[in-house]
Amino acid sequence: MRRRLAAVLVLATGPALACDADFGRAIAAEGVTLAWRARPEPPPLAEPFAIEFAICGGRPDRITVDAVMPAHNHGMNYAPRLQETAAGRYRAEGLVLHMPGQWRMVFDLMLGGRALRLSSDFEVE
Amino acid sequence: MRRWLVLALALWSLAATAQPLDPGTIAKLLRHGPWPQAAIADPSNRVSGRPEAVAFGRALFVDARLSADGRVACVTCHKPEHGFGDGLKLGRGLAEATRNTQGLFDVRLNRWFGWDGGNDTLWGQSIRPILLPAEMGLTVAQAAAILRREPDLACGYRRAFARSPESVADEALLVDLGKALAAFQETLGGGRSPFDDFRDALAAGDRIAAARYPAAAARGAALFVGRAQCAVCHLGPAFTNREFHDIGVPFFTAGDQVDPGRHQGLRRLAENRYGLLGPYNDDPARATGLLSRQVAARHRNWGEFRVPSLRNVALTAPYMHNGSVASLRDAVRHYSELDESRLHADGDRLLRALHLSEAEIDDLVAFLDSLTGAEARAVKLAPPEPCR
Ligand code: HEC
Ligand code: HEC
Ligand SMILES: [Cu+2]
Repeated sequence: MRRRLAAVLVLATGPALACDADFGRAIAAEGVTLAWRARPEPPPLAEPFAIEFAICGGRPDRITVDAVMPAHNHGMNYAPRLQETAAGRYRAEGLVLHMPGQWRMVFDLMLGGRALRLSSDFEVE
Repeated sequence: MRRWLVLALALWSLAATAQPLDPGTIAKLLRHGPWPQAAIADPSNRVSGRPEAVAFGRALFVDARLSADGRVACVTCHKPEHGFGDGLKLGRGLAEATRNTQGLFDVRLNRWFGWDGGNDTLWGQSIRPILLPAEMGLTVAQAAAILRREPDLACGYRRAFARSPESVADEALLVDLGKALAAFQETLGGGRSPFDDFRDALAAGDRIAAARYPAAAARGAALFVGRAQCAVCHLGPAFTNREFHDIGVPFFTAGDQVDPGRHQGLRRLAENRYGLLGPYNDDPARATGLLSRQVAARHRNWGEFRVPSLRNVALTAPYMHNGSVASLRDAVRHYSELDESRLHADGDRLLRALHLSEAEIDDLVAFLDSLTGAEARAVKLAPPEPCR
């Protein structure tokens, strides 16, 4: 009985946990929270890496991930491969940030016909 | 007493010439090392690192039998005394090539090969000149026939690949030639340079050792990672981000043709049978193929070329993909006087004419010169021992 209760509790709080406890960077807008981390962390300069992220408060029909360098007006030379690894959890592979400076990770979500862009800025050196 | 005076004078002159670098600059300079980098075998090439394949590849590299007129070998264009370039504006084999010959020191570290990155493996890049009409000009069948016919080549092949060339199809034989050539080229380390000694002295906090580095080169190094922003592209231990940019070098070639650079490289990559995603990758898991799958074409790729490494760059004049820049001084001037209107409209918003003073140009050239070491200057190719 105790064990079953614990399981129910974990289920209830699971998504919320996924969006803050073990992910370093969280972005929230319009009731949706997206938390992401780089693999390895911090994102390396000019070397391939992956990101893992979790989305809470909505289940998108479509997601695209890109990284851009606003000051230089360019993005990456690679389009990362995206996989859903568990419900609401994703992994994108094949990112390369090929210059030092400020980068912006951009997540475009389609949530039942509504487009939502979430982005987060970080430094690479 | 006299001796003390001499010592004091020596220390004073040291302090006068070697301006102390600020901690931010030192931190940036440290990122251009350590050097050399560890050698790792290429999983896409089963003979990478195998001594028999290195020996066979070395023999092939200097062998003119692998050309249509029997006179052109890899070494015709990739000469040891020019950092394995040729000192010419454009490569010259059976005819004139459309691009400048690239040097081959530390080529194993590349992610993309050629000025346009049309190859993603060293072995694939090594097959290309054998088949190009302007370079060595053979067909696949001709290359395979030469290998089977010449006893010393067949012998080298058997040792490197542990099978007889008679049992292997033409294209697979050609690919194996590329893999042996790659195994050899992986051993072309460019060695250490005066800059590496300086960088390691800074890392160790050894000011006496750091002061042996010429003061002009030290000022040039600070400019390189500082105001001149060269290290935004020429970054890390190999002085390249291994990607592609347009720095405003004209891309017109002889007879009003244009060289589309990376744009064409990506097309060639997609059709390339001799790459990580093709049938000849020896790694069933294709562990190194991720970026070849995920690479994406962009508008700005037109007129972009690969950022070259700057190690041993003093040996490989003239410069740029079309050999249009004669000297390191002219290369620095190019950045100083950059024609911003020449840069692609949707290209990098990063490059600006630097308007360097003559003294700053001298310093940057002194720094670039210090990236070439004694080992690279002295390198020679031992004559191959024919296999019997
Ligand atoms: C006619 C002169 C010529 C000959 C002969 C020649 N090359 Fe080259 N090599 C070039 C040129 C020019 C380039 C630049 C090619 C480009 O960007 O399209 C190049 C590029 C390369 C590169 C790429 C280096 C890099 O940094 O990406 C490698 C590797 C290479 N050659 C190996 C070889 C081998 C091995 C042979 C012999 C089988 C050979 N080459 C024969 C002229 C030559
Ligand atoms: C935006 C990225 C970028 C920046 C910033 C940059 N470079 Fe380059 N560099 C390149 C590219 C790309 C090439 C090759 C261009 C071509 O062949 O068309 C190149 C070529 C060179 C070459 C010729 C090397 C060879 O083997 O042909 C030298 C030398 C050089 N750069 C030095 C510098 C210096 C010094 C600075 C700073 C003043 C600098 N670069 C800043 C991208 C850059
Ligand atoms: Cu940038």
